[in-house]
Amino acid sequence: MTLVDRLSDTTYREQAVKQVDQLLGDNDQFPIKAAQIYGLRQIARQQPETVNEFANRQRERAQHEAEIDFWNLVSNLCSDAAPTWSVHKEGHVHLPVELQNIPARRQGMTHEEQRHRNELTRNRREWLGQWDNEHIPAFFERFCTHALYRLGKE
Amino acid sequence: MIVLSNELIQRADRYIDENHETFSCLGGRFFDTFGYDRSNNVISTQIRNLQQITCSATRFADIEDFVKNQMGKERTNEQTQQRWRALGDDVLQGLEQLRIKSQELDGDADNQMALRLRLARGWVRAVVSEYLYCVAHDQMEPTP
Repeated sequence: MTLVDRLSDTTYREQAVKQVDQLLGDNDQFPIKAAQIYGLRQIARQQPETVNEFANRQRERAQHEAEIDFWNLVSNLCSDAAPTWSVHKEGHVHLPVELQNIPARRQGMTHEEQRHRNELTRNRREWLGQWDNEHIPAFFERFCTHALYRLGKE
Repeated sequence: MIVLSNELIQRADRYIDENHETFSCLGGRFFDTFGYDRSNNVISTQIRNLQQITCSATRFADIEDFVKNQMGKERTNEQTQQRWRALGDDVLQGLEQLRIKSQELDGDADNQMALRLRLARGWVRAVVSEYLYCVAHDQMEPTP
């Protein structure tokens, strides 16, 4: 069983339920339509790197505050700067040891040290990109299903 | 692939045996809710789908998601959706009990995943068996 299997079965399921339920609270009125959730799921499956962009576009078109909150949440869930948990931040928790503490740039670095630092930085960026590509679809599968489930209860 | 110890397998199977009646009861409710096509002797595809997803899933949450999807999706016939909505939350609650049990049985995350799937397969066997028993029983009744 891979890490994405394990997280999909535990953390992603828990976070998906928590985030959707927290957003809705006691409000029975779901802020967006089922078709939009299907759209989000499709984007997450096929082009995970564009979920953030998709959410931002949807937010610009949104007319109600609750709708804006929903797309803000979606955007945050794949962002590095999210105020709480996000798929991307989860990636940082699982970074390989060699990519965790990259030395800061400083004056007097030798050419070899700079080259090594640049290589680590590039590897880290690639690793996190790969993480997003694999884990954003897994997370949004849970998220969208729970959102549709809540929508069905209306 | 995770290989569970014999002891864990036995403890999981014992739990399934001890709760067989509860699971069977759910099978009876599936029969009451979904029924079957008596004239063509065809059982509900929803039951087959539940069994199929439970036996083939590599992630326990996929089984929970199957139920949520059936309850939530718009692109299904309304009658099926209503039936799932009548029963789905109890099914989800039953699955949650299996999840809790897997955590009680072992502290290791990978073992818990494998245990959840084993428990789910035992659970669905009991549910479907009772459903099929109800179908067989009904077929023995004279045609109305």
